[in-house]
Amino acid sequence: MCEVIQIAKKDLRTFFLTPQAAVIFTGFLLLAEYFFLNYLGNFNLAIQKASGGSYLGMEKINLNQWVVENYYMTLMVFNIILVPLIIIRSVVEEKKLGTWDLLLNYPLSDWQLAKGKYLGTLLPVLAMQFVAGLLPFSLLLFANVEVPIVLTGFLALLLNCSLLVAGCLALSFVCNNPLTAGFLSFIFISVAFSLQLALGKVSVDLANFINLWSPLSQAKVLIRGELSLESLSFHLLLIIVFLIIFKQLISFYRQTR
Amino acid sequence: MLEIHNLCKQYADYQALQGLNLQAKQGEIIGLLGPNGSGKSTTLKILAGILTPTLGEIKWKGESVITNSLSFRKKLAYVPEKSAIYPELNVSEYLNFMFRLAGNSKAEAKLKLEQAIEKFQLASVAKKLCANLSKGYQQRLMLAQALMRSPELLLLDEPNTGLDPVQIRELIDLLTAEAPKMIIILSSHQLREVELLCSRVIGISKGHKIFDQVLPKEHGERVDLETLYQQTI
Repeated sequence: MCEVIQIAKKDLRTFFLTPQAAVIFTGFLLLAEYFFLNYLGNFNLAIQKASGGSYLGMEKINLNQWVVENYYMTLMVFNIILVPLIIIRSVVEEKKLGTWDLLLNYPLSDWQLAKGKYLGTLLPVLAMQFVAGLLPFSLLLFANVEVPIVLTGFLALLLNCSLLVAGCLALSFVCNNPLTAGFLSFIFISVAFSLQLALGKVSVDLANFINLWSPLSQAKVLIRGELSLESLSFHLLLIIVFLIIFKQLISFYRQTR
Repeated sequence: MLEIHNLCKQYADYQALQGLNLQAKQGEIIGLLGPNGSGKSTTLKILAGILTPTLGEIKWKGESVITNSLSFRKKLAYVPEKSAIYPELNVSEYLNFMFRLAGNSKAEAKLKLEQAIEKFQLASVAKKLCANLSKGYQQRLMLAQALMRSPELLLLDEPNTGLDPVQIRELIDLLTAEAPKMIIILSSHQLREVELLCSRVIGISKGHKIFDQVLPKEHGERVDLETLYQQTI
């Protein structure tokens, strides 16, 4: 475990020592804050409009839905850009620097390498999403927000990041060029998210199947405040599957390179 | 101590190694000679555990290396041809990370780090970023990360590439001093340096062993490596 933590610590450190990290971190947080304030502003505007009129439709204006749910969904969509930006600095960068071969020579099992690189890639994304994901907690101080929705929404955000990073890491391992790795990750997340768009255009059976395998659908369940075992299992299962694929790719790399 | 039997490596489109055999014992410095693409780096990478052979057997003290790869990798260290450094880390951080990655404790790392910085004369650049080091210092750093682990088998891929004559002399002195405790296998194109450093040379061409020659170190006795190389490879 110590070696896994060493790799993760090194990756976290080397990421935050680069000027790109400061730009990505600041840009992401500013954008997240803009969206949060925007949803909050829209909510206030809707309240004012409703209270100035006949109060009709007032019951539909819900802070949890208008601000918390929308905000967490937006943060998840940000992963389309955020995850590829971090992925390009992960294994592909190590291959380019020649440090990957050196790591393979150290007395580390392929599992330790896979877990270490996964943690090292995940932590910067998680750190950014963690900080941004805390904003809805501020609503607990002065508004009537349902605590379970904020908590499960926050959990959904972190699980979604963990899942996408695991998938993109396995995918990026087959690349030798950081840009290709970033592009493939972008396509992977876009396709995973756009499964949602097909829901209205397919049969009920197919829609149920897509719902079961769509990261956004599964995250939505949690964001609505439902601590669903199915959704939790979906995330954990896919993270494990992607990690196994990543580990197998490392073993395959030793055999076929 | 180290036995290689019928080592073969097939890449997608060509056969890099075709039945290489080799035995080595402690204290030997073996130089692998051969043109580009002859299989020198592949041999070193297989021994380093980076690649797995298509066929063949490697034994360390009688035990199969391929089935006990993890425990074997604890006993060896590898220096790649291209300096494998993390540009964002400084020299101390890099050495500390590499040493701890080999499963050593924080206290051990602190002690070894001080010793390595002194031994490899890295004190003046200890806080300098790896990205800003000269080729000579980068090579020293690579050797430091390898020798800090006190390996029993040291593998060096073209260790003198890009070094000036003074740095090559330092490298030869350093490796000669370390040699009695381990087996050193290196690949090189520099016949003169190989002659000065190695106790034995093995010529490889197209994945085959062409010659295996012991180099006598006594005065007066000398093998003309250049003629041997030109005649056989």
